Amino acid sequence: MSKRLALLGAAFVLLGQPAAQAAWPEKPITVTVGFGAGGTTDVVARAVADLVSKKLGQPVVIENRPGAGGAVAATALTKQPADGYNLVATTSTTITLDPQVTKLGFGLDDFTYVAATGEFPEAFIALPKSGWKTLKDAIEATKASGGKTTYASSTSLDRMITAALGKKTGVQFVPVPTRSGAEVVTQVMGGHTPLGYSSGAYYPQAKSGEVAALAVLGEKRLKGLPDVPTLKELGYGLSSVNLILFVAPKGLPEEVAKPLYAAFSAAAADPAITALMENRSLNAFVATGDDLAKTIAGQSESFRQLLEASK
Amino acid sequence: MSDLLLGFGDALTPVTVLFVFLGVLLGYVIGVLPGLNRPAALAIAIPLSYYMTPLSAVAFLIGIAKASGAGGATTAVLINVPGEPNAAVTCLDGYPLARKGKARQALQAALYGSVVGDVVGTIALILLARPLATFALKIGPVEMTALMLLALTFIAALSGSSLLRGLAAGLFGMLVATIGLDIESGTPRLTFDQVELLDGVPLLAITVGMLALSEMVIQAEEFFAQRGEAAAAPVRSDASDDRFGWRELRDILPTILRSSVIGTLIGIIPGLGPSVASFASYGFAKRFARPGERYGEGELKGVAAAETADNAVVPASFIPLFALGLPGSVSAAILIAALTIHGVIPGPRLFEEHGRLIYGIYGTMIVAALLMLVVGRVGLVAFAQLTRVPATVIIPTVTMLCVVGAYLEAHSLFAVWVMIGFAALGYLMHRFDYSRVTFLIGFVIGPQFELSLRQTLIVTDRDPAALLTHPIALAILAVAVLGALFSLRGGSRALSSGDAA
Repeated sequence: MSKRLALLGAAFVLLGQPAAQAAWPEKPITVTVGFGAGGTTDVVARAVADLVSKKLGQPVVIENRPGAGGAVAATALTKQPADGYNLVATTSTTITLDPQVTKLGFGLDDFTYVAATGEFPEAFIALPKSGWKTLKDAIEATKASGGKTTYASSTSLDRMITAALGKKTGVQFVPVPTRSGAEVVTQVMGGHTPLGYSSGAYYPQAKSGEVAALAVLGEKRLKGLPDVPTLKELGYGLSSVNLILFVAPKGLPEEVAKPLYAAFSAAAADPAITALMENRSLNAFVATGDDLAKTIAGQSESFRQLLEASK
Repeated sequence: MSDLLLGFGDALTPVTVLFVFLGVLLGYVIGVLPGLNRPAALAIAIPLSYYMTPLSAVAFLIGIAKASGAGGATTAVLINVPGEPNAAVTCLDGYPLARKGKARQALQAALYGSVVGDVVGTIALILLARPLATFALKIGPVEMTALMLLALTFIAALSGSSLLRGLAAGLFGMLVATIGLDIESGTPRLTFDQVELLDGVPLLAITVGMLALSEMVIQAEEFFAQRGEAAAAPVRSDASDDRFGWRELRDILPTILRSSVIGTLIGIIPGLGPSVASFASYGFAKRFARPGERYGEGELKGVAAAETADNAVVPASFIPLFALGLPGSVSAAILIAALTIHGVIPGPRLFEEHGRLIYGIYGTMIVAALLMLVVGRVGLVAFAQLTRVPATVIIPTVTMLCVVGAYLEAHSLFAVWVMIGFAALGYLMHRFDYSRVTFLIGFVIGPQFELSLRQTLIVTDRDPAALLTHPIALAILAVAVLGALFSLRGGSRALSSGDAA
């Protein structure tokens, strides 16, 4: 027993060494993931945390606190001190969109934006036997048959986007609510809804050709599905970017923020993370600090305008 | 063919078998402990599995998923507290059997039922994955709504002494299930601005509070009432006929086989899950009971029906995953995560790309079933001693586990308060003879029923005539109506014979 304690002590001394040189961090950092273990956000957060831990010389502990699309973890974070030891990993829409549609105890200004690592590959999908090549075909076909179609939906983001798309095209997209991206794919594959909006679960089926991706929602095409156009390319002037986001409470001091941002940029550029992104079909997207804060503010503003427009 | 041999070879390597064993052991223990449930076990296990090889990781997780269902029966039988929510129905006959001194018999029926159910589900997965998954895809919103209506008719079979009170409890469960974000508009319902309630009342907090903690309050009350008198042990374990032999096995085998099929079918359809399977299987067995079978008073077949079906669900829920790459259950979604972290993307081409791994997984599932039998058999001998543990030890221990389990689910005290609140409610329901099990059915079925019904209204454009294009749904509805009529008639007959007695 005493031997084990001695070993443990030695381990702490070793881990503590880099901390003795720099003022921060001098104890383990906790990253609370706003989603359950095993989801995309969790997997990416753990991989990034592993590398950040190596860069900072302190353990980074991952905790899962799922609920309300990341809002439970984000709410809890606003009550934590801004000392860099408490971070939350969630999706960017938790902060840029959700407070605008649901009454939540936080807003854009309650956080310091540490890093974004990866962009979800959101897309419109349909069955290949529909014969539609892009979303344009689907919209034309819908117009020809009454101008109204159902689609399988799973987030408030997709309802907002399709409402705006409907305004622009004169087609009425009626959302059929489901609980997850996987259920969206199931409804489409079963032929129960002609269209679906999935944020990533469709990818293996799209690769194998059991599902056709008609348009992706990001600013750029997906590396893994290079033939699928973006919504903007199709001329609809809409896009939605959902990122995996790391945030700290607002007012993170400069001497903490600097090494933290550096550690996250280095981690996100690591080949291990790039490979993971490819595996999960996420588009590479890395930003930290002030650049990221601008991106987030821009996202929030464009969601606000979309919500106005879709009212 | 070579993939098959190589895969099964992989499954039998000592390391893989060890991880299956560890998974089964962890799952079984978590299953036995009331308050700690499968999600807690998986939450511990997933981060660990990131550091294993793909097959070991999957073997470990499968061991947990399978064995936690089997372990849940133990405390249901022995102390009337289900170790897992899906063992709630097991209490109905298991505990009366234990009170008659037939605890071992009940536990063995539960174990063998669990293992057979698991094996049938696994065989269906290995042999029929593709056709069954294609069938499951046909279950759309309309069919699902019909299935939910059918499931609701089972409330009648499980409502206890009064159908009206059973329905009241079931509807109350559905009402509680409406708390949270509206699935269609995203508007919060009955959340009182509590962000913790946006996803609804935590399932674990409700089931643990309603079934486990409230039962502890009830037993503590009995304990204090009996103190001073000759405090008879609530459970005797000395009945001379507490044996499980070929005769018992032959007796319950038809029930086990039927329940395996019910569980497998329910497992294939995404969104139903093990609790619905055990309710449905028990309800089915009870509805078609032969004269002389006394469900609810210690009928061995009741224990077998409930325990078999929920275990058949676990392997069957992997069918849409392996055939189409679509997760049909929480366990399947977790398996996807474990596979993708290792660079294996579950999808329609899984077999072509990773045939050896898939056969390896099938192999570990068979190994898991065998180990479950061994661990369960040994555990049975050990846990049967639980009947000798005095209430002064059991009640505080279970209470503590309930608090810990509720906290673990979301690392929040909020869930603990919810759990305690529902324990109080569960106690009151018990006092006034409202079935806590039908409450749970309402709570479990409610969200899926609401979702399917609203999906149906949208996809059919609120046109009842659209039903005619859904023959499967029509057939299910016909069964539901016939079943409801049958049970009403059967119910009144039982009532009149009860009066005569």
